[in-house]
Amino acid sequence: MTRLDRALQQFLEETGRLKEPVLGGPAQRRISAGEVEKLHTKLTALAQRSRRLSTLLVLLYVILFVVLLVAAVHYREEPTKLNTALGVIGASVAGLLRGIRDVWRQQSALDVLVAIIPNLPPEEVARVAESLFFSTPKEQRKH
Amino acid sequence: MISQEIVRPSDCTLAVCLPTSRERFMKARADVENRDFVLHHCATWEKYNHYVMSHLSIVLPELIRMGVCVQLDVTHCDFSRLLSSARSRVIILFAHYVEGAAEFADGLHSDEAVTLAVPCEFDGLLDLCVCHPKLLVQRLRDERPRCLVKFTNRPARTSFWIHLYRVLFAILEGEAIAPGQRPTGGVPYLLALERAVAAMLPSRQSQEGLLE
Repeated sequence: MTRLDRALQQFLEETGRLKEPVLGGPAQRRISAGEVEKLHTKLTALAQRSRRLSTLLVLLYVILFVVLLVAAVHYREEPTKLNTALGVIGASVAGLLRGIRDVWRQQSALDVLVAIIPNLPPEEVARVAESLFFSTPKEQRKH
Repeated sequence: MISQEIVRPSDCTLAVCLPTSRERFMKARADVENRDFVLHHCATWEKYNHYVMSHLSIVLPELIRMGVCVQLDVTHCDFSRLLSSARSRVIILFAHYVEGAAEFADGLHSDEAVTLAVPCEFDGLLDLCVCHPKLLVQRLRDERPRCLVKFTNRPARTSFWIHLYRVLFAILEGEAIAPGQRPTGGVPYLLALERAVAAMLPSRQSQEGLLE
């Protein structure tokens, strides 16, 4: 579960929107502007953190690329060592790319949420949070 | 008498009044005047899909395989027709209930309208799978004394009830519900319901108010 999912889950829990609906009884309670403000503050902090993380990942990617070039030049006469070095660095690059993709996805969602939340009525914010949270596949959510 | 009658799954109809597709859900949500469930209890398709549709899509095909007549997106007219056709001895109304009205696929209908949909000569069982329908039950018992009404006095979670019906129909079909248990043959609906509840909620305390 990503930090964004956790933030949305906490918001939905606190506002009673995470509970399974029942076939009757009173309607869900209204969400206050204060609760929305709290979510907005949290998401803004997460967006900043996510931005820093993506910068760090890109920096790591560049470093790995430089290491790859150095290894290619250094081991140009030793194909076995060169293959090993390329294998290790290649696997690291693949892992890093996956990380960058996940951070980028979360970053995009956070940027959109941070931008739209102040312009939406509280009930609409809850709908957006529900849609995002419940559209995550179950096996990734595990709550 | 229906309370003692042996009932088979093919004698039962499950009338699902909740939306059963994204299109129906969106249509219901647009009808702000005459709706409650998708407006005030479950306003997004993603949540609805998670809590309701994912369970219905597992259980309904099984119920159909067992021979239950499953009717989807049941309107008030459909409900009335189902009761008048006398095809089923047991009708399960799987719907949302908000004080004084039940929500069908075509919107909210008052207790009076629901009662009028039940023919005076209907002597089967009406299983109301809705939350706290005490006023409706009172009216039905007063005005349709031949009909046996079962209801729950507890909040009805869709996932719990739909799975409970799966167990219930397995019992009615004569299947064992647990390893080592012998097939039951045929049983009356209310007895099967009690057994299904006991299988799903082993503690007595958790069963309180569930069946009335």
